[in-house]
Amino acid sequence: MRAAFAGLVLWSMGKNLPPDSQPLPNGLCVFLDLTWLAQPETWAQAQWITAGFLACFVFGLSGGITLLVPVFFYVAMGSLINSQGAIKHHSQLIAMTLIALWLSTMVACLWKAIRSRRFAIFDDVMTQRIGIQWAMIAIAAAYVTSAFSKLLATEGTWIFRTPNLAVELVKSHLTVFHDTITTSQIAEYPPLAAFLVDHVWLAPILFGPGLFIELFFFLALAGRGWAAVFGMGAILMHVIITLVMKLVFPEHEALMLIFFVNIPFWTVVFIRGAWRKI
Amino acid sequence: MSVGDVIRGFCRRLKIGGFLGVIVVAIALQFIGEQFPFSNFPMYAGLSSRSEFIYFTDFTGKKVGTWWWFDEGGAAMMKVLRSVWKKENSNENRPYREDKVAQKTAANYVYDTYLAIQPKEKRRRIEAAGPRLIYVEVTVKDGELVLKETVLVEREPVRP
Repeated sequence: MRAAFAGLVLWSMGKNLPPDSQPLPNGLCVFLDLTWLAQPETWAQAQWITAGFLACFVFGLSGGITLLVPVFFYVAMGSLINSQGAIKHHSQLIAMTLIALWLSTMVACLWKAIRSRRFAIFDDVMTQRIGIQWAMIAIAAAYVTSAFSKLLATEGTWIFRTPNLAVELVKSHLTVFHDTITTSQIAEYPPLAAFLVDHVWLAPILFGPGLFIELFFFLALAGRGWAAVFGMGAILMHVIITLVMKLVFPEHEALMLIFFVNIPFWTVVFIRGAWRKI
Repeated sequence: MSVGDVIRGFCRRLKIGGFLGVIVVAIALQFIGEQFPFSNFPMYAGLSSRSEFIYFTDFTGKKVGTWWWFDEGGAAMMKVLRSVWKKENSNENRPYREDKVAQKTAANYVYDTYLAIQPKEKRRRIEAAGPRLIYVEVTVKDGELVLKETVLVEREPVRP
């Protein structure tokens, strides 16, 4: 899990070169001028340094020490990206998960140091498990708060307003079309948009389940089985959003796979079960 | 094992799993709002019956991909336009969308800002093309999707 998450953090950093200005400061940029990080050589060095610390984290060294630098660089990157006047939502979940892992292991490290007057360089199994639990809490909270936002913005009537997603569909498709025009100058409307306008009863059926997955995502913490079900449900939700709205969130899908679906665990369970039958 | 035992066991697992932590963090995120790394993830929360986007053309009306000119998508530029439009609204007692002067100011700000950060050679190519920023409003009227276009920025071609 640590290795997969470290790989995801590095991949996310690798695909973003932070902008070299912060006209409308957000996050850390409210307090600090972080534009120095946007120089290509500096950003490349930051990625290598992060990779080094993450390798130590994967090896088992205390997250309280090894994750502080990755947290800083990742949050700095996201702060710069979101200081341009437009908030993008691709990297918040990874940042929150990093912070949750760092905080939990730092608290465990300090607790052990205070209780037993010993400094633990490596995270024991219990500390690692608590770290994963805190990470899952952070991710689940993000989905639940997304549902809260929908219900608060519409005074609880979000599902009944889903037919209006037709205009959002047109906006998303035509935005993507106009972003990358090559030869064709004529935009085509997504057929689903007109279908939603003509068949308003379809929208709640198509989009309503997504709201329930988000609102009840806390149930994913009830055990590994529930986590896998909700993880796969969230991935399916994102796949539908990609197909319908042309919006991709690979970071969120990867987090679901790593922390909730947890393929390695179920693989071991399956192999053990098969071995017993033999 | 009774149904009550099953439910009690489930609630205990949920409590151990961190249910309260999820609720506390979710509520905290609502109060913190959009400050990286935190967010209340308000995407598609409002579901208004209208939406909007922008695109660019050259002075002949030929559409040009936003990414090719500005290394940025129209969605992000539209968010910036909206932020500035709200800020420039001259009358707080009326919706910002009614202030068409502020809309044009915001559109020109977006174009000038994104143009300024392009490399010199690319900037010259964009200016030579005589760029237009087109704002498109999408609504549903009488059971039909309606798109209304407005030219917000119109610059004459600049010879290199």
